[in-house]
Amino acid sequence: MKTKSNPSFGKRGRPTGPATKRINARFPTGLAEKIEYAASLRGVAVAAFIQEAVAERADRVIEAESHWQMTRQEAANLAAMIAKPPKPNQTMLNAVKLAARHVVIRS
Amino acid sequence: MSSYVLELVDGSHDRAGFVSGLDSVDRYLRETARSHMEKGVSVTRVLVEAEAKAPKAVLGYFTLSNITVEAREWPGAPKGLPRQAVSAVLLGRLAVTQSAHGGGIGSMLVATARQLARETIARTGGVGLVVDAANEEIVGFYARYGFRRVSPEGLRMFLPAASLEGGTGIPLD
Repeated sequence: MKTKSNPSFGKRGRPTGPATKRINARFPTGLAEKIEYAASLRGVAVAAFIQEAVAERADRVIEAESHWQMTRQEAANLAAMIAKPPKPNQTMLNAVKLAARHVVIRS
Repeated sequence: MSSYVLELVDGSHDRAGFVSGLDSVDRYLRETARSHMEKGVSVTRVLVEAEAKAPKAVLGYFTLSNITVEAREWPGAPKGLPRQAVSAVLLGRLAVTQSAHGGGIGSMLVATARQLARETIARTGGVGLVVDAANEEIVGFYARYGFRRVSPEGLRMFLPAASLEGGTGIPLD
């Protein structure tokens, strides 16, 4: 499990502790001004505002590739597909035939 | 004699020369794929000409990893899904270099990813193969191979384990 095996990714949101590592990123003027304005509305420092927003987005990206908490609709669709698995269609069978003829898997 | 070899990405591949037309997947191959292999995050395989010499031109690639699938318990929840979290194989990225578009490389990559997913599930269990399409056009690409969306508006698609059976085996080296 990739996120769980890496302790630095283990915590959701903005981890606490001293901010020592610098990530350099340039922002277009308009965006920088927008961020400064939004941070001032919240009454927090620009750095804290960016860290929080980015931590949230990072959590979503990391989780999307390792853990899928399904919605009710997704679960219903998945269960229906598992209960009645579609047979491989002709396009897939043609692809398999093509690969079997031309590809060798080296591990 | 086979025309192509599918192999694990390494330093012999010309990753910088890979241009699919989608910047995020090009950058992943160039900058992230190898480090994710080393860290055990995911496994990236590249398709190259059988006779290619280093630096080998990458015709296409895909990335497989494990994903945990979990459904909450709702009243009247659908039958058929285990109550605990289960695993599936995730095809996170699949791309073909622009110069090879339309030559069947994408088809061969889908077919080999399907076989590798089937082997993983046969060994360690799993409910099926999950695919994250990058955009609507790519949803159409996977739909042609029988993958189905798991929600009407989302880009995540699925093929159950039983649907991975069938067809000729792709040879192993």
